[in-house]
Amino acid sequence: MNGTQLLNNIAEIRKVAEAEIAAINTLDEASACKVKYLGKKGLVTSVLQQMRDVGAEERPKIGQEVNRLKSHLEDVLQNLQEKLNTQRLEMAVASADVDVTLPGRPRPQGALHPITRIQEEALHILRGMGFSVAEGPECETDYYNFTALNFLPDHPARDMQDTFYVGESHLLRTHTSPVQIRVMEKQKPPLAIVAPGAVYRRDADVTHSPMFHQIEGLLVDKDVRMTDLKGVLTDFLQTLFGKQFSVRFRPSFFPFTEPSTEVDIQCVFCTGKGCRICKQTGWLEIMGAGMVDPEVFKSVRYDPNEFSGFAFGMGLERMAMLKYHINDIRLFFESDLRFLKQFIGRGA
Amino acid sequence: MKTSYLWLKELAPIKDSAQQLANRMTMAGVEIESIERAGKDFILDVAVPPNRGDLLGHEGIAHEAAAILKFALPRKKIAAPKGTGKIRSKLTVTVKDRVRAPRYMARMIHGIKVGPSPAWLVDRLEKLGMRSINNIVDVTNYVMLELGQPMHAFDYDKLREHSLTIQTPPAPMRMTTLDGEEHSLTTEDVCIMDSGGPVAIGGIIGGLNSSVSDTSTVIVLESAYFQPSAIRRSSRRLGISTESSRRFERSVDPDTVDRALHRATQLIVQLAGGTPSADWIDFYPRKVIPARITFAAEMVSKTLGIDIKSPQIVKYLTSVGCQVRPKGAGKWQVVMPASRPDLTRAIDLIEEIVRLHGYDEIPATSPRLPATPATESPMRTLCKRVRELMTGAGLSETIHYGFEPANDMAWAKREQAIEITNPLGTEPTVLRGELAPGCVSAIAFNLRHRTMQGGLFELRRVFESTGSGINDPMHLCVALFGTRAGLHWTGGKEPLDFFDIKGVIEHLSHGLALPTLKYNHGAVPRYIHPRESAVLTLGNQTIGWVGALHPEIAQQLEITVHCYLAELNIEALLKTISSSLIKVAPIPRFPGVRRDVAILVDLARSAEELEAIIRKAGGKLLSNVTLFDYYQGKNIPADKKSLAYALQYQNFDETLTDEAVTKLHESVVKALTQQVGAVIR
Repeated sequence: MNGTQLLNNIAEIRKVAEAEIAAINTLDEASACKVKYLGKKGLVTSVLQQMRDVGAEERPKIGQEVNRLKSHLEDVLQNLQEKLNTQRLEMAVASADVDVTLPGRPRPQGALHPITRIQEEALHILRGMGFSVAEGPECETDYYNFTALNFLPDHPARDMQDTFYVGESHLLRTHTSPVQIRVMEKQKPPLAIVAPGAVYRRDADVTHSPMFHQIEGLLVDKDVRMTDLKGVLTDFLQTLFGKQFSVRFRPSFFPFTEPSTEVDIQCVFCTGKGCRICKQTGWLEIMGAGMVDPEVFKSVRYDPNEFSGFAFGMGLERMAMLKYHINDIRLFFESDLRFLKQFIGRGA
Repeated sequence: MKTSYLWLKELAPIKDSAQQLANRMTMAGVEIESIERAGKDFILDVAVPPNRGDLLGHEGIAHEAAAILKFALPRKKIAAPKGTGKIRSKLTVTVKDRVRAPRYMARMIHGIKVGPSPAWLVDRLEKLGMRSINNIVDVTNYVMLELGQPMHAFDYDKLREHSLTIQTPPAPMRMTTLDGEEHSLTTEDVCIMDSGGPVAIGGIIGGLNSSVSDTSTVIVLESAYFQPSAIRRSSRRLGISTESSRRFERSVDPDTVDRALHRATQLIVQLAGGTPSADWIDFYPRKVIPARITFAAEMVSKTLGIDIKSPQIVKYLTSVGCQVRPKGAGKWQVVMPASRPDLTRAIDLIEEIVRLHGYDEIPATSPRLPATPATESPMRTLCKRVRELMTGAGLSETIHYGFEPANDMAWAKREQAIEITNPLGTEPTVLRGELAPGCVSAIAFNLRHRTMQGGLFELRRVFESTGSGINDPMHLCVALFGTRAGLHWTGGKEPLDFFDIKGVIEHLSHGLALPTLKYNHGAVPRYIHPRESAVLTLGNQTIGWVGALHPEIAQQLEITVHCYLAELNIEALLKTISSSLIKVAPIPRFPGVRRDVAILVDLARSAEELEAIIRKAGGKLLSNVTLFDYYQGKNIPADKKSLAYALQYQNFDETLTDEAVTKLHESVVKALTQQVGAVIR
């Protein structure tokens, strides 16, 4: 092939290539076209190989022409590819619209039981105040549940807590107070403990459940006084329910404390104005407490002249009912998921 | 105790309104539970603490009110009405049991006329919840409500040989009481007997045979002090609780026994006529001596943390009936009143002082707390973590009672159930020995209420008899029912299968960094599917089971959706994880290589077995084995399954060469073909 033919050939290639490129609509076609002309075995490349047959004097000119064609096609294809790519991205963005109001794919989520929730909340406050958590068995003996706590045999005080008996020697504890005895038997003062757990009374109606939960507290040291009891319990209740609610103390009777007190908080529903929940009194009974009776110290061989202390107990169902506005105690133990799932993701 | 406000005002100069009085008494420890209007009167319901028998009469409440309202109220003297005729010539009274009956009084009244009571008496009794019977019985009740002393009247003519003996029966015997019920008396019950047998159960209820009727003309009035614990034991054993027994078991005032007798005699003569005997029986050989102690002001401040001035202390103690004699500065000898057997110690007096002083007067302080970190048991920490993991896995926590009905749940009956001696209803009740049956019932409950899908867990102690005692290990139960997820446009409608519940257990075991748990077919509870289930072992210890609810039980309980359960003993986990600390492994510096292998093997070959073969052949450089496809069914023989594994090869020290990986992978393939006849696909 001579030089002129080759030059014609180059012109022909340019003409055909330009026509082909003009018809390209997709990136794939553009890539294929690039390979066809500019690839290792492409048409432009093959012209360069044919230059060997041409005379030396014609080569520079032809070489120049081939390079011009090559860079021209490269530029055109490059521009085309960029243009097509932009078009493609624009199309992709435009077509990928979603209905953002469709519900998201759910991740599983369960709820803590309200009793666990309020228990943890109360224990969190009490631990912060220095009380360690202790526990004891639900199946107790008469000694720990009653006798050691100064419930004398054949005393009407025993009627205060109607008891389930189990076999000859056991009962279901009627309060968490036996844990006091179990801890004091093992440990010497100073001590500050709280004991959460289930308790049982032989009693069932709208406001009473045969099983419910309590937290018991006990602090024993030298020189613990009733002023301390008031301080600790006021702080605790106002942290749990809010500083805006007043706390009041009034005398009561428990066999294992003396003096004993009932602790009331201002009604959280009406802020003390008087409503149905507080029976128009403005106050809600929330805890029992008192200074540890010397007889209790004697039963664990503490010297009542050396040590003093206070104990307190509260019902968690009642607390949860007040805090979460639950109106039926049975809801706690029915496993109704419509109830339980309401405790997903609530703040403390 | 129901209390008439107007009656209180007759007994004491109370100026406060009923509401004011109620508030002040409540704040001083005598809670008024309700106030009801009754014509011109108000009825206060006094919640009498079990140690305050003295508040079971209007006089006692009036004295209490006086102490609280801070005015003096001297004890009222009651004169004995005059009469004729020696009682001992007509009636023999013998007290054989001096322990159970420390004081026993009796007086006769002749020529009475039994009839209806006057309107004021009927009205007063009825307002306070008592029925009017006749003038004699009504007077005994009236005196009880006034002075807190139960009284009894016998028809003299019905007493055989005109004798009364106070004793425990020499042998068990039967008697019919006033209410027409027949009771069996034991040799522990204090009885009032005539020559023919019992005529009353002392302190509890009278006998039908000696009761006053319309035709009675001569009566014997009884006023006594019985030992509180004896009355309580009898009352409980016989199952009879009366107005009388409630008072005696809380203790009456031994010094009011005579006052009550005189008051009743006075009223009977006034309302029913007749003449009392000139004298009366008063068997009181050993006077009940009230406690006396030395008391000091410093005891008050030590307990309360505030100082109360000595004159105030004396005033408070005197107002509750104590006799206070000075014994040096800020020290006294205090004699307790006979009406208050609950007062025996210094602390009892401190309580009286502070409740009269007012709890509001006590400031709030912060105690010096032990400066050691507050702790909790490892079990509590574990339980918290388990709860986090379970709620994170989408399960909601549930809590059930520690006991369950035995008949309703007979399908889950256990061999060694621990029974409650006195259940709530008539149905036998047992302590829960495992949690799953309760959770199955919970699922049935939810299905009945149209919740068709969900997951629950329960974490609590169960009860096991150890022969000598009761063990209470911590258990976890997981229960899933219905579909994999709730209704959703993205899916999740597939029914649950075994691997959902197993996934929860694996989630738990990963979350607790437990050593590998083993799953094998084995002995599961009878309400669990025998094949679609596994026993869980940790090391060589069985820690629980996992499986489908048995179809038969599902049908019986009308559980129409898929239902899977697991129950684990958490105690065993505690021992394993207590020492497991996180030790971070280095991140590999050289790239790993993934090679896959797909095989066809006999159905009977377990995943566990196959993975063991792969791992053994792969050696140390095989860092991970993941089963990513499982198939059985069409296009492969019925006794075969097709499995595909992704094998991750990793050398932590250098780059793995292609040849090294190929060599290892070939040995894995060879092991599978040779050892279990796997066909490579």
